[in-house]
Amino acid sequence: MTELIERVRAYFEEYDKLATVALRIKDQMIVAQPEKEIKVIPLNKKAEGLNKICQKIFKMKKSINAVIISSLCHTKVIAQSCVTVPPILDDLAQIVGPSVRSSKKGGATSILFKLIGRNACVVKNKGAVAIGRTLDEADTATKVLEKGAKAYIESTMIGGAKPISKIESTLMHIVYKLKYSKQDQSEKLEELNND
Amino acid sequence: MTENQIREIIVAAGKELVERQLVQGTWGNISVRVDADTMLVTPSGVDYGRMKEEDLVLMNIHTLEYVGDRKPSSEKDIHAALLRQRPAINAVIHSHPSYCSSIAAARMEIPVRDPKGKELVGETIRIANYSLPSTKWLMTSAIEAMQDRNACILANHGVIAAGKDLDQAFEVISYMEQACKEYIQDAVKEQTSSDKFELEKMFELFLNIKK
Repeated sequence: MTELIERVRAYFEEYDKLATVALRIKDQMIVAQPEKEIKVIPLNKKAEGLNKICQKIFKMKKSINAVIISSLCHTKVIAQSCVTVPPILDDLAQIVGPSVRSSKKGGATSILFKLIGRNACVVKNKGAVAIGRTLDEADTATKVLEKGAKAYIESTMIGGAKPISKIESTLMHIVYKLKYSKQDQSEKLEELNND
Repeated sequence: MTENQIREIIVAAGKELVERQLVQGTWGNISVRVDADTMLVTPSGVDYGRMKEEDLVLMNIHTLEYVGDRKPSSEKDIHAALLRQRPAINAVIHSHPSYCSSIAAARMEIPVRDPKGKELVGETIRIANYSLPSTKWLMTSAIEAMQDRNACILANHGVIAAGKDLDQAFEVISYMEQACKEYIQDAVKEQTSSDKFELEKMFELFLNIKK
């Protein structure tokens, strides 16, 4: 458990201690949040705020073991605008999904709905919620989303983005998930079993 | 240059790409010609920070057969085709730097303004037509856009930069990123009637457009 707490802390520090980083460990979750001690919270114990969002994601999505809630510079602007970002870059389509949905509501149910078939979404006044089977996968989704948000904003400045087709972007996301699933299986098991 | 020396310079170049924020994680790839028939190319899925000389894959540019257990980069076809068809090119870098990615998302051919840039990449920064990654179609689009050029943007994907050696390929990719940055920032300055690029003004403009 100590090793896993340290791993969560390392990701938290990488985000300049400004993100919420949560990792599922069997029926509990380790959560690091700004200006708070790292906590281990049972999944069946009543939680509030961002903890509740992480808890609900872990309860409803059995394959998800990591959540990162962040507010990086460009992602925050996309969240504020509440637009859906189309698949404008291959890596965005592969890792996050065929679009980045925007949630006007900050509740766990609304966020879960926007995460159907996606590894991330943006939430008004919160930033981004990225999920993954491992912390590494959630971290990658967060960073790819930020790069995609930047590309979306900047391409708007020069006449607008020309997205990849829905079919191609969906296909890429499916292929990525299958490929990544195999490649990352060992890391995933290691995270969960190092209890 | 010996094969071992080429291995060393590719590993060092990978680290430099990361340091200069021209690549993220395991994305992007580098190749260098070893002789008339072979190239060394970075492997698939290995972080540049952890990459060692022995991880690089020795590959035949004609048959695409390779030596060792490591799989070559998934964009090996583009690297091999460029080295095969363009004898003057000895090094190729493929990456997804952030400003080039924004131009790639807009699929917009942009002008090259300065003489040094024209010498490095040509009159314009061309966009290769969109095709799914790691496909023959993407290779064909990239080769077509690279006609008489040392670089092109791959639509919705990233950038390809080439040179007579790895130093020149590096110079080309760095120029591409700088040129794309200047093009975007000039567009923002023009729309905000300002002499200086300000991030906050770009965000305000974006929020107004998307209102």
